[in-house]
Amino acid sequence: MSNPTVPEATDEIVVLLRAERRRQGRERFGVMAIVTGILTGGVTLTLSKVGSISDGGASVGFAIAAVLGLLGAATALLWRRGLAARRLEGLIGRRDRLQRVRNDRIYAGSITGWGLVAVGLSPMWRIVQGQADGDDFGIAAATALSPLFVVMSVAGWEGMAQLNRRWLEDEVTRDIRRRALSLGFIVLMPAMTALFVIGLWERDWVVMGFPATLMLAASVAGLRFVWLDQQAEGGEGG
Amino acid sequence: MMADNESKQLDRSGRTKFIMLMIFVVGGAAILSGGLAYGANTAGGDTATTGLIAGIGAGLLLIGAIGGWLYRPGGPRWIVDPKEPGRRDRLQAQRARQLSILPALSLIFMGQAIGAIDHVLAGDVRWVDGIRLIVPVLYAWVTALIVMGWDRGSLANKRFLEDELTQALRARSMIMAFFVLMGGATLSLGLGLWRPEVGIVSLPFVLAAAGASAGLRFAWLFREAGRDE
Repeated sequence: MSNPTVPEATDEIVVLLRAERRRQGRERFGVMAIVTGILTGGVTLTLSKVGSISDGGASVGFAIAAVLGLLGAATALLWRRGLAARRLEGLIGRRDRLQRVRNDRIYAGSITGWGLVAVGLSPMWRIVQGQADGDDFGIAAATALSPLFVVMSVAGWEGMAQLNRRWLEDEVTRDIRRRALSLGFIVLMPAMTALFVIGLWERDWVVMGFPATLMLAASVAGLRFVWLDQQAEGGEGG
Repeated sequence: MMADNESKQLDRSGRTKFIMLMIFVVGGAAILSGGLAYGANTAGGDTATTGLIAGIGAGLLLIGAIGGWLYRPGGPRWIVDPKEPGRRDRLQAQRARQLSILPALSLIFMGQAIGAIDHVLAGDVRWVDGIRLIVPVLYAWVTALIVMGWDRGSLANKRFLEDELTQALRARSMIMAFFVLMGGATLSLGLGLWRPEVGIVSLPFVLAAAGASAGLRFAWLFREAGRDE
């Protein structure tokens, strides 16, 4: 990778890449904390609607959700994209830049999809109970489709990947994609079988478990993709 | 002299397999007709048990018939030499054939599971219904495991079955199966929101379709690669 004629630029890229990876790690931790907060809030809300937990339990759940959300938001804001990221993107080529954007998207989709799952729980409960209105169906549809979007961006079928196929499709990407999607299948097949066996007895709850199971497989595939791509980037001396 | 002995021994092993498979055919036919007779005698009676017995019989009959044809006397597979150079090709062709047959078996068991679906929809699930619904899923699992190379036969013959081509075909068929499973499960979710029991009953179909698409895609790609002679 190193070009002997411009050693300074290469060194700067190496330093910036390291700094960026550190920053991204913290930013992603923050996003994850926010989504965990939303997840806790959504589950608490659903459980309190159903009446499985007391008011005290619900308020503890909401408090945990709020703390996680605030902490995550602070972390994500503190380590948001800054000058270093822009400088780095000016230095690296178009291929690297587009691949970074793609990985960010897949990561964001894999994590924020869980927030959507949490938000979708209580509308879905209302639909199952037969007392839903139009909004509930919209949110439930978004919840059901979000895993598919993650998987499609891993497979390179969404708009950005189609437009920039020349830069985004290479041997490494194809290999990583195969490994990530195979892992997704290995996760989804047992999970769906388990869901079916439980579903023979506990119907309503299993329907509620569907989006989480789909999201589990999609986010395993997405995060595996991002992880493998970072490994490949590190292996190239970046 | 030595070679003569060896080929005789192998001849015998081919014959044993053929006889075993014929026993499968006869036994399967017996079980099938027994099941149908039981169903006919108990008028308006236990359709679940009838279906289960008849389904097992039909499955055995089909396995025996297909295997018996493959091991027919004088056929290409009758003489088996473990040291022959074509072993890799033969094992791989055998795997591709298994993968194209298993989805058909899964379909047969799916057919006998339709009676159980009524019970689940009506809300009284008995253990027989559970078994009848889980059998097609098991076949899907076997197909998926063979594609992954995780079944016993593939592990035993790993050095013959694992190569670059296999890995490429496996990856492509797994991706297809993943999309079938993902799309099907999303569809089940939609049905489940409408009526929970319909969503759950559609799951065996989705799982069987995913396993079948993995197997058939692998067999198809193998054929396209021109390796099925």
